[in-house]
Amino acid sequence: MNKFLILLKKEIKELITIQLVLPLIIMVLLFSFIGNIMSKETAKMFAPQPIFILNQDTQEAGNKISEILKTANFKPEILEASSVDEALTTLKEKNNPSLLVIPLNFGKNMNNFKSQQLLVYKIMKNFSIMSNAKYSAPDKAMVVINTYYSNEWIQKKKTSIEPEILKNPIKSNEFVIIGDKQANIPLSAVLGYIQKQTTFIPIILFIVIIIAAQMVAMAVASEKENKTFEILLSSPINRKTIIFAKLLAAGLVALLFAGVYMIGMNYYMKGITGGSISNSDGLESVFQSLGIVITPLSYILLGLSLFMGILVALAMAMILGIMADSIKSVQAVITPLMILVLLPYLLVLFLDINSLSPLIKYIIYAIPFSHPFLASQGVFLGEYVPIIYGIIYQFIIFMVFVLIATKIFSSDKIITLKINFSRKRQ
Amino acid sequence: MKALEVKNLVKNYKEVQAVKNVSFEISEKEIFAVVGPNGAGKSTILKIVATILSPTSGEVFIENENIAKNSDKARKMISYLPEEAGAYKNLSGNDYLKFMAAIYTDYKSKQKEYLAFAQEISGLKNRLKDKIKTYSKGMVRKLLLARTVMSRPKLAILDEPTSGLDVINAFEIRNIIKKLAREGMAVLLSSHNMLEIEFLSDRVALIDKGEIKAIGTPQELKTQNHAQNLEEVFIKIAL
Repeated sequence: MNKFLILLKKEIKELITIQLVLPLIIMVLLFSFIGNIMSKETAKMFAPQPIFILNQDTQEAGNKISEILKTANFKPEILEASSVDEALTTLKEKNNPSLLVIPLNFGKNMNNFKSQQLLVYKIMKNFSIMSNAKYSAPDKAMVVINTYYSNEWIQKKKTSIEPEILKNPIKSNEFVIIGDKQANIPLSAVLGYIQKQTTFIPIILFIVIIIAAQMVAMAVASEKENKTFEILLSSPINRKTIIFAKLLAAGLVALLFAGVYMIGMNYYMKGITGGSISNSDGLESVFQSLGIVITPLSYILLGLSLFMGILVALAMAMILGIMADSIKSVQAVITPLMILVLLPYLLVLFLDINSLSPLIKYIIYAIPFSHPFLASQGVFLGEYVPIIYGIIYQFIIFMVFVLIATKIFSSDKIITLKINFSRKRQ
Repeated sequence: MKALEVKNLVKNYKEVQAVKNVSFEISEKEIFAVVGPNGAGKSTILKIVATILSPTSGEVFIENENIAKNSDKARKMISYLPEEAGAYKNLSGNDYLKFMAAIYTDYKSKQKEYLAFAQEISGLKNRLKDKIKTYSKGMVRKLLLARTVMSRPKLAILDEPTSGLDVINAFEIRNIIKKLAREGMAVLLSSHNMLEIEFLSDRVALIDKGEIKAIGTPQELKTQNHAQNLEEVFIKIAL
């Protein structure tokens, strides 16, 4: 038993190295940072939600709806607009996502116990999980209004009304707006379609960027560990050629991985959806009218953004790989890179970047790996210009890191630069 | 003609001065050894000549070509065997030699010539078909030496060429080095094996704390220091 404990102690000491502990600590800090941002966003959701109303009925009807919503902790605001289009223009300017329209004779018909319809317009600008919650505010408002009128009708003992209508006297007629396009379709159908198409894109982006980075860092570190680097550096090969050969090899292998993952993910998604991932329940024409069909241009831009993301990751990982003196320490040295990929991945997945504080928003834009994640959403919204700017920015960052790598490869630092992870011994 | 000329070489690592104003020359066909205790600066000098490290000051010329100004050209004339060197483990010995031959020349006929020469020098015969990861330390060293000399460089830089080899393999390698030097290759050599130094070297520089303390033929050094062999000379100068 004593020998077992001695052995156990030794095994634990061997396993718990700074290479293992450092990434763990950094990951904890990263997740607490993301959690902090998310808690602020969640707090915003629990705050009284604004509901913008266009009242085409009498002032009394509008005021009544307002009062109902106020009792349920909403912040209703009646817009001064002569038409739905004018109201929507105002909302787009104010960056507000939804509009409730009270049609003419709504109040009168409700008083006469006739089932009515409210029009709900939702302006889609983002597909993140938290922004979905933001779009649900009018749905919650509808529940509140329905409950109010249902209770009122029951109190007035209108038993002749069909139970289904008595429970939900007001139906919602939902319109989704993307850019300048509009369709009469529930937002949930649009989101379901987009999520089917896009869920795996950020996952693949994340995996491919990380794999590519690890590959190139290991390519450099293994040259050091296997003692082949000095022979290579003293051979008649230009240092830039060495860099680009390593970058390209890792990039190509990473793209191969991306292809294999995409095939795997396709089967996975088919398994989940019970058919093709592009299955859209016969609503293709509606989605096309909203412009949320991926075009060849979208594919090209998304591919370019991903490719540039991989190139940036490769160039950064090559520099970090120089600091590693063994394959074992690669994991530790590429931790900063993993953070730079993980941070935008999680934030874009959960949050609407535009709703964040300017500082955090610009930090995310400054991270070159944010752009492929943003592009995966941008292609559905037809926002090509920001994607193109993102690609240009990524290319500039890539060139900067390649220049730094070339500089290091041409100097003593290629041999002397390293982070010493070994414990100081007495 | 001078194969190598080192002029007032200085190399600092932050506050540590690893090489202090070192100068020497090597002629064609000459084997020149740099000898000294651990940390004396031998490997640093070899790495500077091999264009891996850059000097803090001073100049290095290979066949009159300043390596700082034209390192790509200089690398075509040199070949370096580091003390601790490895080869790509997943390649076979033959594939490794083919890869290195292709780096040294673009001409297919030359590549074949280099390969045939390296195959002969390595003495690994059929084992060259096997992956390097199956080789013993001695076999890897022989493969690397074959790689170093395959292009018949103007200057071979050999850091502990027989390190880790058994007596017979070390003997073979020494003979190969001597033979190639007589055929025209200059050699800059570093070794802790004084018998090896005495057997191979035409001239020897004794280095301590980054400085050349003595330079001459093995016989001259022994005479000057009233010593029986180079080991005695080394101890007298180092202490």
